[in-house]
Order: sequence, then C-alpha cells, then structure tokens
Amino acid sequence: MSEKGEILVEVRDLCKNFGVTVALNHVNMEIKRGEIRGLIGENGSGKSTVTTIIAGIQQATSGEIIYKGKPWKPVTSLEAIHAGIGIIVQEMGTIPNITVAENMFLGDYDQFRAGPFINKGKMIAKANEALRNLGIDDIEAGRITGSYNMEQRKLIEIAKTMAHDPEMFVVDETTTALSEKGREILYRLMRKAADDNKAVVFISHDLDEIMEQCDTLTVLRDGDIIGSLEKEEYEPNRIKQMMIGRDVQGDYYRSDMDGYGEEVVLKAENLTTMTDLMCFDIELHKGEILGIGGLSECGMHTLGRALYGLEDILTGQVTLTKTNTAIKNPETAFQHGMGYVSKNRDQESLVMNGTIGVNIQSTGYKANRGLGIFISGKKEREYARLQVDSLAIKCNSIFQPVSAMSGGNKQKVVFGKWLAADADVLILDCPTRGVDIGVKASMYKLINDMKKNGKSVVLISEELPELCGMSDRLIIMKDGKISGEFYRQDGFDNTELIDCMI
Amino acid sequence: MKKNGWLRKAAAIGMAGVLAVGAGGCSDSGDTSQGGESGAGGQEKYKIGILEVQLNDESTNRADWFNNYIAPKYNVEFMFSEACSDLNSCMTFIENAADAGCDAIINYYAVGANTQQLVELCAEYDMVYTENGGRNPANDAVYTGNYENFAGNFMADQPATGKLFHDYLSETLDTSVEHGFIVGTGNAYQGNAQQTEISANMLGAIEELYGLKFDSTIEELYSSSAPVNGTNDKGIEVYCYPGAPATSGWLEGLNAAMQTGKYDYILMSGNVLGNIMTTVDELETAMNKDFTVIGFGSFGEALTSAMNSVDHFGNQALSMSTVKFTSIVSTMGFSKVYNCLTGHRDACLEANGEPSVLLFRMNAVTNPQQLEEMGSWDKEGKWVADYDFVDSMLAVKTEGLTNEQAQETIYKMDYDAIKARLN
Amino acid sequence: MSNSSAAAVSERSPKLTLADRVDMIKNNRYFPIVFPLAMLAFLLLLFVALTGGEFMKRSVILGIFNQSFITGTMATAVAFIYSTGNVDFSVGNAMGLACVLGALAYQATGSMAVMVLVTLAGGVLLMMFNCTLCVTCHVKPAMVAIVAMSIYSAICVVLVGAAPIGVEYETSKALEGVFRYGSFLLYFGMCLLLYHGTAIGRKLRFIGGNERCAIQTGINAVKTQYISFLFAGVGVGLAGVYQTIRTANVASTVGTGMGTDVMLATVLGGMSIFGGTKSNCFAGLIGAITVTILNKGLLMIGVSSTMIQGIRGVVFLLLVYLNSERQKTLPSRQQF
Repeated sequence: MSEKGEILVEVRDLCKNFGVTVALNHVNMEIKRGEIRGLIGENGSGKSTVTTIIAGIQQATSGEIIYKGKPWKPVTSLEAIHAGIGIIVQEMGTIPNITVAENMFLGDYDQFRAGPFINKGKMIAKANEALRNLGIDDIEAGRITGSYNMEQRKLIEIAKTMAHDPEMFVVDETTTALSEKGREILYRLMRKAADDNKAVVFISHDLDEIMEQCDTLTVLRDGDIIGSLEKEEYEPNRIKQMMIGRDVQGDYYRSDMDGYGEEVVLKAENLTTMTDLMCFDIELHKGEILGIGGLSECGMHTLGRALYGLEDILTGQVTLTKTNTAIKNPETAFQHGMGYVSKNRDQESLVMNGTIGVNIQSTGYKANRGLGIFISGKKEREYARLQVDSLAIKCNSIFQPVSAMSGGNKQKVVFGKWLAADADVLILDCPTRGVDIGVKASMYKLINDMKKNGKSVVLISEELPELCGMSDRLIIMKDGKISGEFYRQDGFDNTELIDCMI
Repeated sequence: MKKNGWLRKAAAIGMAGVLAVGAGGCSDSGDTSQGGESGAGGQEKYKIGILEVQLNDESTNRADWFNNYIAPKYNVEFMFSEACSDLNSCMTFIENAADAGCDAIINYYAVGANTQQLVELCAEYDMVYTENGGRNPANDAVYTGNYENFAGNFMADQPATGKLFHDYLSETLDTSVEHGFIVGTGNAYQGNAQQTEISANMLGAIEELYGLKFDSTIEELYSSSAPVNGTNDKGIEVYCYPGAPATSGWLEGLNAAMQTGKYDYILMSGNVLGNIMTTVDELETAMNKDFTVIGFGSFGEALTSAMNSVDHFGNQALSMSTVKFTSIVSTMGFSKVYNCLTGHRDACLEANGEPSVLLFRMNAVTNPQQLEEMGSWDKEGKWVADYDFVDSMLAVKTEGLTNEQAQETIYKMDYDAIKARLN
Repeated sequence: MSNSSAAAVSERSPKLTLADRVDMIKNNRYFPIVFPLAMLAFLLLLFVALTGGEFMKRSVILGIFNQSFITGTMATAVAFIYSTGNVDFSVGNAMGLACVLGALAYQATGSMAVMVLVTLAGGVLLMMFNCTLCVTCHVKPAMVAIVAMSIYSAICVVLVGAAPIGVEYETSKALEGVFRYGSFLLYFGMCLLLYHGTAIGRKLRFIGGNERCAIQTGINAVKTQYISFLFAGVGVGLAGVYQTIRTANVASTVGTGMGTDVMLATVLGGMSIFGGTKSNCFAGLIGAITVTILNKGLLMIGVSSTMIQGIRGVVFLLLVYLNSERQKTLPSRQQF
C-alpha cells in the first residue's frame, strides 16, 4: 500500500500572515514516504510555520494541504496526531506541574476514562511503556514533569508523539535541547520511520547535522521556498547562500589569537551555592572571552547565575575587583556594569507582552534621563532604534510586541538591551540557542567587538564548536568542579575536551 | 483617530441599541420636566425620588403602590433608587435625583444624626425632604432650625410596638411553669430605638409576670454588646443575646444557647425569622423540646412559612409576629412631601411650628388564618391605604388638615377598621 | 528597520481578517488613551442628546466630578499596585480605617487640619503595612489583602461603634471647594509625571510584565514594591479625606466595597488589572467618571431602577470587551 517515494503530504499555495507580517508566501512542497526531509532557513523564514500548519497547531490563511490523497485541514494537533501526523515543537511542549503521563496524553484522557474517573494507573503504565519502547529508561511516568530537566522533557515530548505511531512527524529544532544520547535516540527513530516508509520532516539550524541526517533539503527564506537539494548536491556554502541570500562574509567565529589583559575584573572565591557548586574559584580577566563548557548538569548554568548574583550563596563571595564590590544580588551587579543573558529566553530575558522598545529600554532608565529624574522619550526611542538598526532586528517599528517575533530576532533584542547598557562584564548563557546562522554570525562578531573594546565576556554554552571558536580560555566543568582549563593559543583538542566533560 | 473610526461606529451603534432598549423599558417617555413650583396647589406634575435601603418584597410592593396606584391619580411621578446602605450612596442618589428633576425625596434609610445634612443637601436643590426615622438629640437641630424644605419624619410608634410584645406575653405566658427565655436584643446596644423598645418591653414583661427583680437594670441588660445572663432573685433563666444574623457567629451562638436546654422561649426584637426558623426546627427535633418563638417580622415568605409550619409537637412553629402595612407607611411619607409641595406645609407641623414625626402602629399576628387574611391585604385591588385614606391625609383634598388630624387618621386605621373595609 | 523585507512585504499583500485588523488597532500605542476617552465622550454626548441638553448643566457636570473623586483617586493610587501585576482589594478597608483614624484625631484635637494629615498618614502607613507583610511573609499582596480586609474593617467597627463619628460640617463643605480640586489635580499630576515621566512607572510595568526578567535587569523588586505601595498609600489617604469631607462623618462601614469599585473603574478605563507593560495611571479616573456618567445619565433619562442594573451590566461588559486586551493564553501570573 505505502511505497517509498509516494507523496504523503502535498502543500499547495499555502499562505499565512500574522497581521501585516507575511510568514508564508504561496508555498508549494511535497513530502514523500520513506524520506527524511530537512527544512532549513533563517529565523522567520517560515519553516516552523509551515510544519505547525500541517500538524494542526495553527490554521493557514489560504491554500490547501493534501494528505494521503485527501484534503487535510486539522483543527487541533490532537486531531492531527490521531490521523497520523505528529510534531515535536521547538518551544517547551510540556506543562511542568503535571505528571509525565498526563503530559503525554494531554487532551486525550478519554481513552482512560472509567465512568467519571480517569484511570491514572493505566495512563502511567501506558506512558512508561511508550518511554521504554524508545529506550528511555530514566524517566518515570508517574513523576511530576517539572522535576526533570529540559532534555528529559524533550524526550517525553518525543515519546508522546511516537506513541501514536504517526505516518509523518516533524522534528522542529529539537536537537538543541538534547545531549548526545538523546540525539542518538532521535536519529534512530527517524531512520526507522524512513525505513518503514513513513516520512520525517527535520528542522534544524545545525548545518552539519541536517546534511548528515536528511535525504533531501529544502531551503526557505522570508516565507518563500528558495529551492530543494538532494543529498548528492549538498554543499555548505551553497546552502548558506540560499538561506541568507548573500555570501556569508568573513569568518564565522574568530580568526584572531589576541590575548587578554592581566587585570582580573570578576572573581569568585570559595563559592558554594545551594546546588551544584562547592568551594568554587574562578577569575575573569579584562578583555577576555571566557568559555565555560560541560554537560548540561555540570553546574555551569548555576555558575553563570551565581556570578550575576541570582543564586543564594552559602559561603564564599563573588567580587567585582575594580570597585571591590561583593555581588550578592542582580541589582548590584547591574549597577556596576554587569549584564546577564539567560538561557531561558522567553521566561527570563524578555517581557513577552512588551514591545521591542520597552525591552531594550529597560537597561536605560538612568541613561535616558532628560531633565532631573525625568526620562526623555526622545532619548529612549533613540536608545532602542540604535540597537534595532545596528543589529538589523526585523520589525516594523520599536512598538511592535516581542511575542510575535522569531527566536533569533528575540535574541537580538536581548543582546541589544545589554549592548545598549554598555556592560563591562557580560555573562552569556547559551546565547545562540535556537538562532540561525546569519544571526549567530552577527552575534559572534558582536562578542568579538566587545572584546576589542576591553569588555569581558563569560560564554557558557553546550555547543563545543562555539566554545572552541570563540573562547580565549576554556574551562570545562564536571559535577560542579573545574575539570579542565584550556587556552586558545594552545589550540583546542576536541577529544581532550570531551574527556574532561564526561 | 482615523483608524478607530469604524470601531467607534460599531461601538456607538451597540451602545445606542442598548440604551434604546433601556429607555424603552423605563416608565416614562424620557422627558424630564423641570419640576413644578410649589405654587397654589395647582395641577403640577411633581417628581418624587424614593430612596430604598434594600430591594426586596417590601420595596417592590411599595413601588407597585406608588407607581400604579398613586402616580396616575395624583399626577405625580416617582423615581426609585437602588439599594443605598450608607450615607455616601444616599447623597449620590439625592444629587442624581436633583439632576433628574425631582422635587422631593422620601428616604427610607434612617440616617439618624445625619438627617440635617441631607436636609441641607436637598435645600441646595430646592427639594422637600422626609425620612423614615425619628427625632432624637442627635438630629434635633433639623427640627428646631428653620428648614423650610423639611417636612418632618415618619416612623413606627416604638412604645406601641414594644407593647405588642409585652401584651402578648402577659396574655399567654403561663407563669406556673418555669420557663427559660432567650431575649434577642438585636442592635439595641448600638442604639437602635425600635429594638431597644421591644427588648425593654420583653424584659419588663418577664419581670412583671414572675414578680422577679433582675440584678442589673433592664437597660444594662439590653445595652450589653455581648451576651449576658439576666440573673434574678427568682432564678428564672433569662439570656440576653445581642447582634444580628449579619454578624458572623450569631446564628451559631444562638444555636449553642438553645442547646443548653435551659430556655424554651425565643423572643426576637429584630427581623430574623427567615434566619432562625430552620435552626429552631432542627433543635426541636433533636432535643425533643418545644420552643416558643415570637419576634418582629414583616409580610413575606419567611413569615408565611414560619406561621404555617407545624412543629414537631403539633404546635405552631411561630407563635406571634409583628407586621405593618407598607401602604400606610408610604402614605405618611407621600403626604408629608405632597403637602409641602402643594403649599400646605403647615399640615406637617406641630402646634409649636416644628416639623412633626408622624407615627404608625404595628399589628400583631398570632395564627395562620389571621396571617392569611392580613397577607391578602395591601395588594393591588386591596390596598390598605386606599384613595379615601390618602385623600384624608392630603391638605389639598381635606380642607384645613392639621398634623393632629393626620395622626389621628393613621391611628384609626387599625386592624378592625381595615378588616371592616376589606373583608 | 529592515529595508529588504519592507520592500518584500509591499509586494505581497497579506490577507487581513477582521480579527487581524482589530488586533492592529488595539496594538496601536495610542489606543489605550484614545479609546477610553472616546467612549467617555460618546457616553457624554449620548446623554446630552437623550436628555435634551440637560446633561450639560453646570450642576450635573460638577456633580459628576463630585461623585467620581473618591473612586477616581483610589483607582489612580491602585494603578501603581496593579501595574506590577498584583491586586490588593483591601484598599477600601484601608481607606476606611484611615478615615476613622482621622476622625478620631479630629475628635481629640478639634482641628480639621489634623484630621486631614492623620487620614493621609493613615493611608500611607496602612498600605506600607500591607507591603511589609507581603515582603516579610513572602506572600502575594492578594493574600495579604484578604487578611487585611478583615482586620481593618474589624478595627473600624470597634473604634467607631454604632454611631458614626462626626467632623466639622462647615469646614468639610469649605474643603470641598478649592482644596479638593487643587489637591486632586496636584496628586493626579504628580502621579502622571512620576508614572509616565520617570523610571518608576516603567519599572513597575516591567515587573508586571515579567518579574524574573525585571530582576535580571537590575530592578529591585522589593524596593519597587514599596514605592508602589507608598504612592498607593498617598492616594488612599487622600481618597479618605475626600470621603470624610463629603459626608462630614465616618461610619464603621466606610470604604467597604471600594476594592471592587476600583477594579471596575480600572477595567472600564481600559487597563488590565493584571498589569504589565500596557498599564497606565489614568485609566482608573476615566473609568470612575464613566461609571458616574452612566449612573447619572440612566437615572436622568428615566430608566427604572430595576432595569438600571441590567443595563449597566451590559454596558460594562461591552466596554470591557472592546477595551481590554485578551491574551491568547491564560494569565501566567500567579496571584496566590
């Protein structure tokens, strides 16, 4: 019945707009059985939009979709998954306060209904079965989802979708949240689906990954399909050029080997926090890009927070050496020229309901004063516009709400906020997560510029290439302690680094 | 603003629609005449604002009488307020009424000491004022000052009301048996005149009938803000229980007192029948004890169901209640302002020239048949205050009417008189 | 702004649905000011038309202000608290207690000036007490409000008793003139300036938008909360003064129910009581005036009192529907 190469889903003339913003512009696409199709494009190119429409999460403005030869217009994602199309979303798709089983069968509890009650035991058993089938052993379906880390929650989402044995599923930028092991599970699932003559749509920013895993690759840009490539035709620069529309200039990461100053600007002595860190010491020098890497639970995220005063400190101290100030809370940190970009962009770095202007201007209350304590509206608008222009944030005006923007654009807003604040010490936690190549490149350039201007940057990241590409000094953490320290001038050896991590 | 254009239009149409429906629902065609002068009793149309404390059966009944019986006959228009339970909302309504063209205010919210303020406020807008309240040291200035727009007040004859309870006890209490009494003194401790009077009469009756002497004075007993035992030389159990259902814990406290088993007479000075009858019934069944309940009441479902229920022992659940006929009270208020508006203010004054307080007497009802009979009165077609009665209270209809005559007329409209006329 | 995409957008014409257009209008940054004022003007004109011009009489307009002062001042005060995403409905009872304290001070000293000062101070102190409870017990203002409501009203009942405490009538009437208008304009003007012109309002709104983000941007949440309650306290005290001089006495039940009146006024004025970046400090005043106009107008055109409540309800629903911002997700701010 189902053959490899048979068209499973066909998208015809699909359009979607959000107000005046056109997300999809007459898109045509075919997804065939037995193939893993990659979708790649900058943020805002429309890849998530087209897949979420296919998966029933939102409705198109016009156009049609044909699934298994019949018109396809699911009202909800639940309807879609029951009919065989599933999606693993880019954002956090689980609700923290309920159990894993409840998340996995969200909206679908009727199958466990016994009279007016829901048989929770049955639900948990079925959920556990689904998890074990995927080879996930360390998640227990009866526990509260919030007690698991981001990667585990992503795995739960994967299990949720796969439990329905879909004909086609979409993987939307899921790999960024996963570790090595998690990715293996996912790749294996994708391969198996393809072998079983099902279809997979794979969205990622990681060019290497997508080239390796996908049979065909479709490039989108600004809501239009630029073209498709077969595996034989894969060529990184060509793909990048299709994505961005122009040649990618210069080096992606740094090309220099400049050192950094002797002066220590920030240090932590004997730092012990409630979780993760015990008697931790670290120093940051002027003009240094200090990379901190490791597995996701190694404590580096806590370190970043502690350096900015966001963690409760049990013993020890974080000190800004120039003024000899102890950093005990974010207020002090901010007032002394520090900045912090959190890993959880939507929850912690942005006011989602606010406009671009409001978000960027939040660091400039003092700087934008006009007369006495009164803030000059003009100065404020300039403050924001400067960042929008210099970072090329895609928007119609600074009065646009941030919530409607794509991930990369949002991250640009966050960056803009701290650049405008002219922070001397900037702590970045996974700054390029969920951000496309074009934006990444500009961010690396900005970090470089900061270094050249004598600012210091702490770069916490789970992406080794990024750390290797950008750091002056790279510290690997493991279990709350420093397990290795490497210097740019010595060159970074991947094997050594990974050894330190594990 | 241009962008908002169509949206505003839509909203405008929506609002206009709503208000059109509303305007259609009002009792008037919407034209507000600027109130006539209180000239020489001509056929001016007067507009009278009525300030209600709460919207319940009584106020609906009152509105019915005013709007459908009185308004057409006497060429007046009435405007009712929503529930006003504090001075602020009274003032707000009066101001709004003035803007709406009212000539007078009948206020059912006894503001006590603040009568003067409201009178002065009405004076600013040239409105006549009367209140369902009394005269006391706190608001005496209104009576002695020369307030031309003040028509005097009207209220229940408190001593007479109290006497109803006293008389009932005297007639029915069997003193050969030792009884225990819970005397609900209500808000007497806060100075509520009516409940003070009733409580005093209840306690006085007990004192008389048993020939006992309380250790404290009766005044001390009913002025206490906390429950107190009326200890006495004969050892009769008397428990004075203040407060009202609105206070949290009041009903529970009453319940607890009843459960001690010491009391079998429940005497309530406040209008609490609707709140306590269920408790009484439950305890009668649980304790296998017959409680006798008498209290202040008013026509309505609570009273009807209480009076008609037969308790566990085959007796009436409620033995006696006081009632009043709303239309009589309304006539008092109406006549006060109408006389002033038609230039006959002298009919509202006492002999010494000060505005009077018109009084009415309550009635006691002791059995369901009587209640049914009385309950059928004071409705459309059987108004207790009929045109004859109202005419006899208005100076333009009754030549040479004086305040004394008006008062007499009211007193004469007692149970027998009403029965003779309506039955 | 991105030129290439702007050019691209103009080439392709997106299909705008009705909902899209409405959203665009609502997101326009002038909408929160223009729309409530437009509604207010519309209601005013409507009633002027329906009453044949009677509604424009001086006494009516003054009467509208008279009746809106208290709620309007309170609503302006509470906007500071609402902006941070907190609700405090004990403001009515706090005002009541402030009035009682002021009246008692008058009884003790015989001076109306003392009454005014004590009422103002009372308002500030009580609100600061609320704030301190929040901060030290680490609970949301909404929870503290529930407790505070009972405590304040109980204290009022105990202090006042059955008979209201009177203050000097003549002076009250006198104060209702220049002092009232003057002090209100001063307070309102100050609030506008501080809220919209300085960092204070911005910080409050930012906290209301996302508290964690605000903290990470160096905003001291505790200090800002105190500031918001401080400004609210001044307004509460001032509203208390207006309340006392309006009736020239203070009863034990004064202020009860104002907590909800203020919420209604705020919502009618176009601001969400959940706060956030779209908050402002004038919505409450606009809403209070709207309510007063509606009440007065309906009475003046002769709507019967039984219909008034119903019509008022419908109009409120309509205004709230048109005005407010309905988020596409449930509110994430935890109140309890």
